Amino acid sequence: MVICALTTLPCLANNAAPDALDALKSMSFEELMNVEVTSVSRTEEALRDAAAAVAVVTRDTIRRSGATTIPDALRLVPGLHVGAQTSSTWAVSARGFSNVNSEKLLVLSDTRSIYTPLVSGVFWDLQDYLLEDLERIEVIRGPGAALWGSNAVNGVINITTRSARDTHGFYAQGSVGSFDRASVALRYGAETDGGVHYRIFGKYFDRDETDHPSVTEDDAWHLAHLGFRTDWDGNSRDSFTVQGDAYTGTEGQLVPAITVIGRPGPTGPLESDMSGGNLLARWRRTYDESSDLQLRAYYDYTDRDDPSFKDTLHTFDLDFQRRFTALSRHEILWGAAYRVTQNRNEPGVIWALEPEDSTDQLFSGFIQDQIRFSNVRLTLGTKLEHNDFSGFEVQPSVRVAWLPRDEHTLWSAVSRAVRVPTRFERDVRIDASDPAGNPVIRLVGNEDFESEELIAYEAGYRWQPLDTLSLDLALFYNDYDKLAAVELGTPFLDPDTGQTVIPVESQNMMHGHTAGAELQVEWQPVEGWRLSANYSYIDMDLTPEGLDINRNERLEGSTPRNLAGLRSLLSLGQRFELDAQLRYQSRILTTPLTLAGEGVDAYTELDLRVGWRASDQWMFSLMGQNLLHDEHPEFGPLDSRGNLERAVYLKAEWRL
Amino acid sequence: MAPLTRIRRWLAVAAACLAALSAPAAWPAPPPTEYQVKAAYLFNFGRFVEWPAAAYGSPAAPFVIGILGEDPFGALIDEVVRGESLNGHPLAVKRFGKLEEVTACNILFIARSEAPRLEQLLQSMRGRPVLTVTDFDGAEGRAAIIVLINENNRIRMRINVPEARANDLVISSKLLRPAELVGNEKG
Repeated sequence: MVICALTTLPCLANNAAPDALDALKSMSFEELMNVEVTSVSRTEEALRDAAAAVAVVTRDTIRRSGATTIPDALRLVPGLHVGAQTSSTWAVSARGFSNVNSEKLLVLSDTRSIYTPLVSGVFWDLQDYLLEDLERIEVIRGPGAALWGSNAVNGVINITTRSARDTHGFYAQGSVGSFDRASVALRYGAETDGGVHYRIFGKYFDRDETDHPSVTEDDAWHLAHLGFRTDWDGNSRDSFTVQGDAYTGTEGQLVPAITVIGRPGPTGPLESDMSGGNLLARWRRTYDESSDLQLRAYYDYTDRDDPSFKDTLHTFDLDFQRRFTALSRHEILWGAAYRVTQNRNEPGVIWALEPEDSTDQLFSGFIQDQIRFSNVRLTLGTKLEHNDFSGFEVQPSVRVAWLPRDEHTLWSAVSRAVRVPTRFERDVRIDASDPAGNPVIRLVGNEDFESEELIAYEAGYRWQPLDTLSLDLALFYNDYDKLAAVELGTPFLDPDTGQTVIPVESQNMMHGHTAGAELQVEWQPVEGWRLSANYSYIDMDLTPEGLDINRNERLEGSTPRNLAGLRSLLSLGQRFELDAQLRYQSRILTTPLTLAGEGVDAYTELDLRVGWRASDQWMFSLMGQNLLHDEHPEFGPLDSRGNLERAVYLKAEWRL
Repeated sequence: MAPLTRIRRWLAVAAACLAALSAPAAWPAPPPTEYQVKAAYLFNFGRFVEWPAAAYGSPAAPFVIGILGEDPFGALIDEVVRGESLNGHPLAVKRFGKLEEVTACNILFIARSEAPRLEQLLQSMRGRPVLTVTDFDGAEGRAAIIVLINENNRIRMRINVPEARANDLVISSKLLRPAELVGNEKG
């Protein structure tokens, strides 16, 4: 199934040493049957055949990137822009609209949506993992709404953790550094007599503040995290997974999350306390290679105590999927899901939502048919959903892949996707002038605000001339309509206060298009040396239709037009690794209506890592980050961003 | 904010740690890939299946593992057979694009790309001393003599003994015991 196919994408280039092959050859059949394998073939096939722009960050690549957070691990994905604003805030976006909310990107953690309905986007500061236990991160650029539903507009990120089957034994790690000041983690995994594989882990990290000469606040960040996962094969057909996390952390902010010009915001230390947890259960029944079903449920809780507001969110989600083959050519995948979110947002100094409490439901279903005609794969699919914000949404897609020869894949797709309204757009109530004044300018929610719409046209070409060389090119033209703009509403008299209210609200008053290209080349010149290069370009052209005349320039300007990256992973024998990542971001423009100096100059940065496998038990790595500059900014307005400094850390890992 | 003096201190700690520790041996190897294990299976089949003498043109003729269709093994299978021999027959790998190209071979691994033509392929191999192997199931239960099945990332075997017999092959009990047996006759 495409979900499965795409969520079982590969560990690339798993080069077992010749002695590993010899060991396999000398095994008895009983022993061979007990060897666990990584499912590279099916997944590499899925990656090669996919009629979409897909990139996979494998566990090995994450480890060798030296990243300590998910956004940092995404930095060298082609077409993805990652810009740090503070220690714990990033803009992560695909195909434009760079923004710290990542509002047009759907992010799933083991199929659990971590997209918040409050402001549309992802609170990256809550997305903590023991990176050692990640299986891979898949990034699909372009719409994935036909399968994954609303908000999968410009991309989908699937974060997948490893099966507990793969994480037996003790694992401990500790690091000290200049920016990532300290981290410790401990994990234990085993199998019970009943055949249940499990792991439990705990992790704590503490990150320093960025350098921010013009701001007095402190944006240091620390977080503690406990988690577990169990995997059990009840019998040859059924497998069960139960997993969960609990975390609590504190981060500083450089400016209040919500500010209004002319009104004093919260005072005192601008610290946010965050906590939360989740529990997920999944049952999968496999009938044969092309037929299975899956039932999955999760509950997620997050609590954010911010100086600007206090927000709690409960999410319950139930999802069913069935895949089977029909008439030999058709692989059918269909599913149905229900989600309910219960959100309470208590007002702060400036910010308020009306009502404070909101319970919203989402009903959805999808069907996809993948049809195979010799070397052509046609995938037709649509999602149909009903949500409490915008009602019914239909998000179809047509994808076709043509494999004229083994090493060539040409694909093309047309899809529709929407970004549904958020609580902020529907329920906000913020006085933007003196609340006691008359008239009063008030930011209000707009019940009539509709979904932002996208029709995306995509095409791509993959070529693998050699086993060790591959090229992946994707082109897109995105046509957006009904984009959000902030507009003046019709003034009215507030019967409670007698004030004349001049409403300012979100309206669907902008349209436009983006066009661009993304290229990735991967090459393994010799065993043990992997090179990867990528370049992406985007042109955004948005047209406001109302009074919010600068919004287009702000969105266009905040997106770097050119991104490039180069990665080298070099293994020196069995014991040493020498890894380098070079990345380039073109400039972010200073735009009208914002503080002078908001722009960010183009920059090139280098990260270097040395890894040393001292023994079976011990591994050490020394990481240098942002080595080319003493410090520089990556993203965000001057008054709320920090500069990333040159940093080093030393990490020790131990396993038994 | 991290002044350089602090960075220098950590570098000193790093150097001290590196100097204090040394030991040989490797970091745990990554798990093998599906096709590494399948290649090992193919290799071992040669040792536990008996071919009729007619399967070889001459006493020194190679023992051939044929791969029909889109080769999923790549260089891996060549690595597996390199320098190996079976009862005096050196092991060799041959790759075939389509059925018409198939020449004498002892084992024929039929790749997934040939799934639509599986029935026809099996039909034409029937009665020839060839051990057909696939890692997928054909339509209507049509399957090769040995099917390698990936179940929860472990590879198990399903063997059709009557079909093996039809091709004049004798399968050792060492191979049959751990396998799932199909066909009318049980082992």
